[in-house]
Amino acid sequence: MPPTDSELVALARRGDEAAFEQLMLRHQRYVFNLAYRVLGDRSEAEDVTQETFLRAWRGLSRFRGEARFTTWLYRIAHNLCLNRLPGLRRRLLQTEPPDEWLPDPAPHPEAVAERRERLAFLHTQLEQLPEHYRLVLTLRYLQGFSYAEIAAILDVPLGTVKTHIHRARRLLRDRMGEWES
Amino acid sequence: MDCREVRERLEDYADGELTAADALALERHLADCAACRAEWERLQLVIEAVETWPLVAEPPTLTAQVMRQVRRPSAAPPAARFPWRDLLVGLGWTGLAYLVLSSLFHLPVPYPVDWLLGPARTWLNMSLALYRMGLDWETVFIAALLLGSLTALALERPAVPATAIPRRK
Repeated sequence: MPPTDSELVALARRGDEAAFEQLMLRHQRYVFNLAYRVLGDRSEAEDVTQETFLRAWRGLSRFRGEARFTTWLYRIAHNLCLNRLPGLRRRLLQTEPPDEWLPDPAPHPEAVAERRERLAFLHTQLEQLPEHYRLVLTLRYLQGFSYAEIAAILDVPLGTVKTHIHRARRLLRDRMGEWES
Repeated sequence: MDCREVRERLEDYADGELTAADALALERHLADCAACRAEWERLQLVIEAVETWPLVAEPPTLTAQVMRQVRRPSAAPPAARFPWRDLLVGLGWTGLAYLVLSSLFHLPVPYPVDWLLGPARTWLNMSLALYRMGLDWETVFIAALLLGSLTALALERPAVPATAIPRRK
């Protein structure tokens, strides 16, 4: 049975570099994708991912294990994204309905699109969402964090996380509704 | 529950946050209303789309780049570092003890220890000479203090190389 994150963290805290490498191999794709979806740039996402893991290594002695390792890791990644997108914090705290709208979708070829086509359409629309919606949806559905965990990672109230996720999903189904009509 | 209410509560229903009674009322409405059912199916598809949002591959060199920095000695945890400071302090005390013993028993002091500790040894020898001249220990102490201070001033050198001192603009 592969070692758990907690076991690897305990080894890494004693200076075991191989254990830390295993942690990195386990989580780097998700951290990279979170940064890429939020920042929209591969090179910046790579920088953020590298810095996230270096900071995690250097700060392991301060990680007491009250939270999951991933919650702590994503909090570091999120703070690094915030440094690069200063407006993100304001958008995350904003609970009023946003003004932004998605660009007009391309017209669909048939009256009733196939399920696969509808999913493909939604994937293109996900890329176009405002970055704070991409951030909360990624945390919710990529790693399966609870709303409470997302609130802890982003340092915002739980109700704000819920509002953002509901609005993002609502925005996507409205766009699909327009596309299909 | 009417259509407006159902549309408002659909997101909570998807998160499983409605009470059993509200969930039942909503499900009854969905069974009868095709428009709301279509909206519910749309929401389910949105959730499926987010769950299947394709991942991009990270750069293949990512792990190696981070691990190279992790394995640098300066990045290692403090416990794993070589105790250079303790070693230097130990050597310092050993040198001082040898200096005192060599002065008392006229032992040879090898180069470069002699070169390094020479001024201090001279100072100690002067103090001993003053004591042997029959002066009381208080006078020797004051004279040694004066001589020591003068020696220290005469031999004063910067402890850090000038190039290592950051310049302020």
